[in-house]
Amino acid sequence: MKSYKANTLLEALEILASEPKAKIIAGGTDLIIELRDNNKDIDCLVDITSIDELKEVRKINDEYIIGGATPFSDILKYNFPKNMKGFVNALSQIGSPQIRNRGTIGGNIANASTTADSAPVLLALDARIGIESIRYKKEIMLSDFYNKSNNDLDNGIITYIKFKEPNVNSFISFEKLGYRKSLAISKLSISTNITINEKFEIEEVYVASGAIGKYPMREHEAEKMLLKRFLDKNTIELGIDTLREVISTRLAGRSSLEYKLSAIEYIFGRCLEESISYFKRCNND
Amino acid sequence: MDLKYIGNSINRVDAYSKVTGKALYPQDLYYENMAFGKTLRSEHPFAKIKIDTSEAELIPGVLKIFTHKDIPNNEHGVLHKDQQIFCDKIVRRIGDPIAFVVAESEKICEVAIKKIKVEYDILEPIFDPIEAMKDDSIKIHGNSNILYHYKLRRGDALKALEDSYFVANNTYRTHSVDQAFLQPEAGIGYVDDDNKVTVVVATQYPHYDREEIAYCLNIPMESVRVLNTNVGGAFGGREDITLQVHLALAAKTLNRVVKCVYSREESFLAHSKRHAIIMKYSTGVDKDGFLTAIKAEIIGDTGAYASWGDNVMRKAGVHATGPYEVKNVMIDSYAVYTNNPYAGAMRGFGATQVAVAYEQQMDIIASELKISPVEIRLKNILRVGSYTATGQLLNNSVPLEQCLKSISE
Amino acid sequence: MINLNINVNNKDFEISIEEDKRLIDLLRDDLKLTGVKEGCSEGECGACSVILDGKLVNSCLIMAFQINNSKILTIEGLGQGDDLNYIQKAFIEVGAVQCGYCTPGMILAAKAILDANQNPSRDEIREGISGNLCRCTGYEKIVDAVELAGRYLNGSEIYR
Repeated sequence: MKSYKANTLLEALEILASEPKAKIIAGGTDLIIELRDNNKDIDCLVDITSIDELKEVRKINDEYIIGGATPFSDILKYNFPKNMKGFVNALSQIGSPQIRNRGTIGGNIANASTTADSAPVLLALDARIGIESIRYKKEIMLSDFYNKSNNDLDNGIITYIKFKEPNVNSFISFEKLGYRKSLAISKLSISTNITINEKFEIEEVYVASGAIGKYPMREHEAEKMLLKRFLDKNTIELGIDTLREVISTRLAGRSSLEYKLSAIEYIFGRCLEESISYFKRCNND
Repeated sequence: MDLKYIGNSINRVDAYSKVTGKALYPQDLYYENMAFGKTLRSEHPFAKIKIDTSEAELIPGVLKIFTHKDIPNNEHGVLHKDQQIFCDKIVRRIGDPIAFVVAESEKICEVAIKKIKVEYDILEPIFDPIEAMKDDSIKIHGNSNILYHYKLRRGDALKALEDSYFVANNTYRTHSVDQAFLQPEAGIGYVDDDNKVTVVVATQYPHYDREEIAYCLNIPMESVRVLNTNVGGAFGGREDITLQVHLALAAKTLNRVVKCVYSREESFLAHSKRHAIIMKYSTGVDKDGFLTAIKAEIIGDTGAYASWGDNVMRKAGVHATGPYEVKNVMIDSYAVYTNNPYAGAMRGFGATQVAVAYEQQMDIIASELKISPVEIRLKNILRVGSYTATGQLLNNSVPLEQCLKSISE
Repeated sequence: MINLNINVNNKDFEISIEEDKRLIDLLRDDLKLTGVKEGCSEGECGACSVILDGKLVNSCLIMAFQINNSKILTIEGLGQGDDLNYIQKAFIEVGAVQCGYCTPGMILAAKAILDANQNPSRDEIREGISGNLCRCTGYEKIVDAVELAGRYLNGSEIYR
């Protein structure tokens, strides 16, 4: 096996272009397990953990830009506003302190696992990702990255994740079901991003899920049901019913269906209830 | 009187070496010119096998591939010698050892192990102990899959159940559990300066290991040394041997220092599990909440091999009535062979599982009689002067009532 | 083979290694720092935890070539000669050590907690050791030990 430790993005991209079986390694928290299982055709590793330009968390105007090779624990050092609670929750529940110190946000996405813990909340934030190779440089919607049946990076690197800061009338929530508190692989996760108007009506809404489909995905049906409605218990019920119907079709015939349907009620319900109590607190303040 | 130890907290003698990282476990030992060993294990739960090691033996760096042909006495086991050091004709579970590759490096072992050809003639496996108990079931060992049957009888349980005010009839199942000690099995084998076959290992029973090694290699006990290192947890999972004989055989045959370290995955495959148990309980009670009878059928899945199955399931039977006094008892507990991972010792040794059943029964009865879960227990717990189900008079120190009262306050 | 310049336990090493080596293999097989334990090889158990450039990491999930020019602390580098570090002392005194296999990783996790916060709550301690499995103690004594170590560090309790 060959190995390279790249110090600049350009250096990394050049190696990737010249080594057809090369694979990028950053945190390595998933890749090294795969290497040990010996079922991947990899003969060269390109380390990107020393590339400073890929490890920054910046806010430019109203946008957050997070370098692809930023470890979760470094992202969590940044002081995000209170209404981004779900984002902070999602990231701080990943793996363990050791995993968060190494695992990177770009790696979590590049893995394209349906259980990727950062994915639902990034989808709910309507994030975009920057991908760069020696031949191209592009910015795509994260949802498109997951929708494409083949999310091959084509010798490219996820250089950044970008999303708009939620406005003051918005709230981001995240809930996950795992078998234990830490090092738990998601059995199901939901993230919501809800914006309300002064009449407590849902002005804009994003709902995204993890581990209930092939990839993390937006739940458009549930979004449609919630949009323009008054944010209350009744609406929560409608949202849950819609999502349960969607999941019933999507996971039809799967042994985990019944379990996931009852979990949805709790997990999705918690996201929406947390949003209500946040907005109520804001009104009282 | 000032006592040096009694009443004082004493630091563990091994604590210093453990907090400084100096404590050695078998995987921490490195020798010059050390060879490595790796075990080939069955991929099927029940199959006839044919082994061809010829291609693997040709790989440069392979020193020898040990199979059943190389071992003088191939059987081992703590109670019944029903396990094979290397399976010869049949495998009875996933993970049964078939061959032990010894090579100059671990990497060469990995390459060689893939080149060993095992032809599996797959048999229909049995995973359900109730199926396995039937007369017409396929037999995993000998003429019956029932390894052990323990009977406990006191009074007339059947009649007492008939006369009871209420009988709770329920079936409970517990699952198989791995001890998951943190230090995976590892060991070193060598022949020492006195020509003794030496195995350095983390074990619960160095003396049993020594017996098994001497028997399997057909050499006198005096020619075998087992050195116990620090043991990185065991909880029952290091009572049966795993790599001990493999290392002794390789070291003696090759006259080399041989090291073997299991991965976590292999560790799961190699050692015993806690018995999964099916417990069919009938618990009778009179209208005042006093137990009248307990009848229970307790079926323990001992998997492919006996290990401590007899003793574990005896203990399950002995503890089947829990800490309660009951005059009429009819308990039948069984250890049954299946093609599941083999079950043996794990903390509690059969007493743990039955608590799931007898305590649930108490809660169900309490709810039926509309009394509190504490009250039903206070009425029935063992006290000084009580007889246990096995007829033992408890003549002193039974502080259960005190315990129950203090936690329910 | 590639050459690495690393600092382990305050000692500089220039070492030539195979590309496919993990950090844990480098520490154990080459430097014989066997206080670094391998328990699961997939980042679940934390027995192989070391402190890499000030951060707690699983050495089984890092390739050795990735850590060129880095600084690593293992359990062997914690005390000063024969003198125990305050965390090691607390683990012994409280009785937080049983089989010992999780202990080196657990002590380094404790160091990472206390380096960031000299007065952690029990919940913060539990969060800080959540990547380290112990099968013997049930964790209570370990949490007690980290609390005591915190008191040694912030001076509210004096070494005996």
